[in-house]
Amino acid sequence: MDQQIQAYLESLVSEVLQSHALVNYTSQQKNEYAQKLRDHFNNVIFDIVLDQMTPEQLNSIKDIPMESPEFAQKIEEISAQIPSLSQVLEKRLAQETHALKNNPKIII
Amino acid sequence: MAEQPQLGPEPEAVHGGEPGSKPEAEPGSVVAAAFGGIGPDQIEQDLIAREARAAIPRRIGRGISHIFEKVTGGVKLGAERASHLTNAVVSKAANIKIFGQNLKTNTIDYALHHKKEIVTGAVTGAVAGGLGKAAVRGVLTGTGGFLVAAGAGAGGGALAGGVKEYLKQREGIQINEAEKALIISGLKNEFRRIRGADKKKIRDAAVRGAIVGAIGGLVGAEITDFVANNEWVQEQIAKIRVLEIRLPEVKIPQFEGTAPSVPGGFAPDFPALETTPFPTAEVTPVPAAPTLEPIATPGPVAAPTATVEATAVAPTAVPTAEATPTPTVTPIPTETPTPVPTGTPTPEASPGPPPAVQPPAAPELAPAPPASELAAAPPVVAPEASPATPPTSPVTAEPASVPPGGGLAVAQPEVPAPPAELATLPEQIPLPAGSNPWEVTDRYLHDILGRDPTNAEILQVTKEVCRQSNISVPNWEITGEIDHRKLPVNYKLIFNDPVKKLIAGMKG
Repeated sequence: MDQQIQAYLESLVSEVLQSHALVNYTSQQKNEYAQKLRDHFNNVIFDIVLDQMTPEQLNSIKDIPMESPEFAQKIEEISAQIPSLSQVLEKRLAQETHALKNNPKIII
Repeated sequence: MAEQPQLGPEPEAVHGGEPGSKPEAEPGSVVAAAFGGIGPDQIEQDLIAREARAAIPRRIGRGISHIFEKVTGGVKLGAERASHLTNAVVSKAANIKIFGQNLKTNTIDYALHHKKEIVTGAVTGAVAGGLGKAAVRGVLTGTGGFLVAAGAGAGGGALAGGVKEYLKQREGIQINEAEKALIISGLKNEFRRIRGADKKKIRDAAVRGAIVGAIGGLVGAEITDFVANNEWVQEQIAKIRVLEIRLPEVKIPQFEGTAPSVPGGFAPDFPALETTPFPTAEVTPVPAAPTLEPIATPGPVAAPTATVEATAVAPTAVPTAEATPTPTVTPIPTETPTPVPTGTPTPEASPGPPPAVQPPAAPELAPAPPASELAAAPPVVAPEASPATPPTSPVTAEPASVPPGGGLAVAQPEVPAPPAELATLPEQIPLPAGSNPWEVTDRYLHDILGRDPTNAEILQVTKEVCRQSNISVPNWEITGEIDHRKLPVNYKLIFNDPVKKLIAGMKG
C-alpha cells in the first residue's frame, strides 16, 4: 500500500514539474524542486490530518515523540476514524497541485 | 513466443530412449511431458498463486465476520452470510477510487487482515480514544456507515447521519480553541523539523489510515445495509439486546507531563449501554451479489464463524475474543467505567478536568500554509528546538510499581509463571537494523500468541523489555543506561522471565 501512496504522490510531483514556469529549469534544479515538493505534500497531508482531529485525538498524540513507532501507529488509527479523510486529502492535494502548477515558486 | 523454460530432462528420456542408454527419467519430466512442456515447478507455482488468490476472499470473509460480530455485539455471521457480505463489499469496492486508483481487493485484504483492529475501530467508531458508544449505536440503528467510504454509496442519507453524529460529538467536547490551536501549531512545527524516513513513515501512516478508514466505512455501510435488510440478523441482535461494542478501551493510566498517550488497548468489558430497539426495517430480499472476478472463488467463502448461531445471551455477559487480560495495569478509580443512564447520550469516561496547559516557552510559530493559500506571505522560519532530552531527575528505584500520575499503588494481580513453552524461547533478541524494541516485541508477541497483539499488549511488553534491557525511555518514565533513540544495531533486547510472565498472562 505504501508503494501505491508513493506512486500517487510522485504523479502529483511530476504534474507540477511539467509546469510551464519550470520549463527553463535544469534537471538538477528540477530534482531539487521535486524534493521540496515532496516535503511540501508531506506537510500538507499531515496538516490536513491534524486539522481534522478532535481535541481528544490531538491530546492523545501531542506527547508522543514523532520519531517513535507509536506516533505513526497512532496517526494511522486516528486517520482511520476521520470521516471522508481520503476524499479530503485527495481534494486538497489536487488543489495544491493546481496551485503549484500555476505558481511553482510559492514554495521556493 | 516466449522461450520455454528448461524443465527437467529432455523429452527422449521420457518417450523412448533406450533403457539403460540414458539416465532414467525423473518423475518431474513425466509431469512436464503430460502438461505439454510445463514443468512441475511451474505447475506448483501456479497452484501456489491460485491458492493465494483463493485465500484472499477467505481472509476478507474472516475479517468481515470479525467486524460484524463486534458491531452487532456478538452475532456470528455463518459462512453463507459472510460470503454474501464479502461479495457485496468487494464488488462495491471495485467501483471506488481512492487517490486515483481503484480500491483493489488486495488492499481490502491488507486492511482486513493486517489492520483488522483499526478497520474494526473505523467501522464501529470505537477505537481507543475514539468517538464513543453513540456512534456504535448509530451504526446499528440506521444512522450508520459512521465512517464514510469514498463513494461507498450505500445508504447515502444514513451515512450523512453518521457524519452528523461525529460532528455532534466533536461539538460536544469542551473545546478550548486556544489550546487546540497551540497543540496543532506545535505538532505542525515539529513535523516540519523532522526529516527523511521518519517524515515519510508518518505521512504513509496518515494516508494508510485514510484508506483503511475508507475501507472501514465501506464495510460499515455494507454491514448497515445488510443488517437493515436481514430479518435474521435483527432477531439475533434483538436476542442479544446489548448493542454495544466491546472495543472501547480501558484507558490505561493517563500519564502526566511528557508521558505519551497509550496507543490502543482494549477493555475487557464495557458498561452496559442503553438498549436501543433495533428498527424493524422492512425486510426485503437481499440482492444477489455480483460475481467477483478474477479472484472470486467458485464456492462460498468459508468464514471461521461457520454455522454457529447466536443465541440469547445475558445482556451484560457477551464474551469477547479480544478481551485482553492486562494483569499489570493498575486501573485508576476515575477511569472506571460507570453505568450509562438510559436514554441519554453516553459520554466517554473523563479523567477529570484537563490539566492547565503550559504554553511552550518558544515563540508560537504558524505552520506554513498550503500553497493554495499562499499569496505573498513572508517565509516563516522555525527556530531550532532543542531535542528532547532525557529527564535529569533522579532515577526511581522501580518506576513500574508507581502508577503514573501519582496515586496509591494497587496490589498487582498475580501473574502466572511463564509456562514451559515460553521458558524455552530465547531470552535475548538482537535489535535488527532499522528496527526498534516496539517492532521486535510486536513480532515476538505475534509469534507466541499466534495472533496480532493489540497495541496495549505491545506497549505493556515493550515497556517491560525496555526496563529489562536497561533502555531509557523518558516518556515512559523508564530509566536506563542507553537512550531508546540511540540503540545500536544488535543491541540485546531482553525477553527474560518478567517479560515472559507478562506474555503468559496474555496467552491465557
